[in-house]
Amino acid sequence: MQKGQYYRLFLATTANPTAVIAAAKQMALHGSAQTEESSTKDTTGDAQEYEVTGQSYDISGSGLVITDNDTLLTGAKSLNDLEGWIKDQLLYWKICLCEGTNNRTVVEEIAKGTGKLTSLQIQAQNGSNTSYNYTLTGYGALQLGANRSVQTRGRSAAAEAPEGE
Amino acid sequence: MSKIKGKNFRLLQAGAAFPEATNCSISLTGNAEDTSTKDTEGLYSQQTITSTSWSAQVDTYQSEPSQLKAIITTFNAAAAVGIGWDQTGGAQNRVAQNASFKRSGNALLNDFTMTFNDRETVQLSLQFQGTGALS
Repeated sequence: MQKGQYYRLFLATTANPTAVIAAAKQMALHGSAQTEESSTKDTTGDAQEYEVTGQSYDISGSGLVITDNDTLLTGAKSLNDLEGWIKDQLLYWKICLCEGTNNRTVVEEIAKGTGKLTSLQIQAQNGSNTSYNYTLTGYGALQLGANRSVQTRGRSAAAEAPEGE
Repeated sequence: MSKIKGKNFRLLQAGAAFPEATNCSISLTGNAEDTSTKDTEGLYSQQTITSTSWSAQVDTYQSEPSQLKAIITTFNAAAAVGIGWDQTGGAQNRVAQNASFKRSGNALLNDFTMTFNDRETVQLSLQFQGTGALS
């Protein structure tokens, strides 16, 4: 079994994003298919039949807002980006299994696609770290990530992903 | 009286138990219609089951990235897959015991959630909508 921290979300306004969402805490990929009952009088028996008539997905997550020299950085530097992305801006994302320093060296792409940021909430409460959560709504197809290539778990030659963009 | 422990009752896809499963559930529904009429004496409804449907749900931990990719592939295919349940035993509790109450049918993967939380094990939640009859 693998731990969730090894799966990171990369997000950018251009294809094949290399900017990781830093200081992330939680992240989930959720797919949903709309099904419609398709049984007819031709269907034998009482059991209902269904077919998929639509599909959608979203990615939701949360992280901590951290500071560096009083300047908001990632979550934070990413968070600055995210704020600007609450508009009809197509974003490219991928979820990768990672390893190495800060768990940012890509081992294998799991899934990728495009989406639009539809919610961002920043929470600052006495007695707690400042945190944020977001929802990225999928735009178009949920795609399978590329197969494991030159990078292998434990022997990765990949460069560290930069922090934010 | 013999009780079936929760760990010995598993959801299967194409005859194989979902690995690293922690919980599964099956829901059978009789879709009822109130067929009472003016001829019905008293105030109570009279329900008639006009169709049946079923769904299944399984929660698992994840052990390999290939499992995640397989789920996405299944979801994107939007086609029915063989789902069943049975009492299990043997190696890793994954060997179907061919119990008298086992059932199988075709189902659509209509909802999934992959949860990647810091300092927690990756978890999957899959929901299937049955299509057609169970046998």
